[in-house]
Amino acid sequence: MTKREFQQAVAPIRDKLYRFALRMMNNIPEAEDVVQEVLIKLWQQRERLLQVTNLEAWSVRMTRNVSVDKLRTRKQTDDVDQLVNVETDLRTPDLLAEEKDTFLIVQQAIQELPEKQRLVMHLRDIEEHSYQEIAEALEMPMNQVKVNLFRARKKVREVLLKSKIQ
Amino acid sequence: MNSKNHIKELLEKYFEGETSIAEEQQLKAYFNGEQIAEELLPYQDLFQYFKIAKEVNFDKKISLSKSAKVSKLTPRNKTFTWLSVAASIALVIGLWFFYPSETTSDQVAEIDWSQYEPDDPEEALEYTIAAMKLLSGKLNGGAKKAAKELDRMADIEEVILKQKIR
Repeated sequence: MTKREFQQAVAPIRDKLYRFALRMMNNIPEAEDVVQEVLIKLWQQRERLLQVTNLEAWSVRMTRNVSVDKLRTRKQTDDVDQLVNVETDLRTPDLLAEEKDTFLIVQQAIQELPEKQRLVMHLRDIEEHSYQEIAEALEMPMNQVKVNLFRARKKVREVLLKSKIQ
Repeated sequence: MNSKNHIKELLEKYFEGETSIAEEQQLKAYFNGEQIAEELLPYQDLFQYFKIAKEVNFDKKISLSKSAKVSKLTPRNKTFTWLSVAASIALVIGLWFFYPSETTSDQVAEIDWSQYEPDDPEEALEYTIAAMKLLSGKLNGGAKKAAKELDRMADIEEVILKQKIR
């Protein structure tokens, strides 16, 4: 596989992996690090990529694993740092351009969900994947995908309505 | 088609986790459109957020050359390694300083008696005799003291007897 072929194969999914990493890490520079690491890993295994039936699901799994590792070292190294980062504004320039604080409420509601719920909701409501694809990417039985999605939407709805009342 | 009631229905279906991707796209289209029924406004942010969040792109250029492997990802790990090195040095120094001072100040140092043990039998006999002499000396001292006390008692007895006679 040449560099050009690799870049063509990866181009459709790199933004998606970045958004997924953002959802995992809740921090822009760290999400960028994750994607960089994933792309390099994919490049190192480029000969295998040709045999992978679902490159996207495979890469999402890899992104999740790299993020989990990173979260683990983050816990070990800089708990204090992280305390500062909890409230990080995740709005990338695209979101900031909208200048809507209300997005921050939605975003925080999603970020505060348990990991499984958060990732299922992300892959469904933002990336528009089928239950089957989500099950594959997150290595989760289909009924679990549905249960997690249901709970996530319910919780986010609660937070949203509460914020509207105030 | 996109009447208020239809959207309300879809919305309930969405929160039950029973909408298809096409139906969810309808919801996104409605809430990103111009005319939104007032009672549905609380949900506007949610579906607008979904749309905006999908527009986040990964713009960073990544070098796939070998040097890229160690780029950017290492500083955090490096500080951690240096920290652990420094910590172990501090620990060793700490032990070095604290351990001996503790034994001399708070505890009686244990004496290795074996170094004072005589190795030839004659010397051993001499030591034993000396030890016995010391012991008997002490015992005799005790006996002498006892005899002296007895003499004094006898003197006192004599005085008392003399007084009685008188």
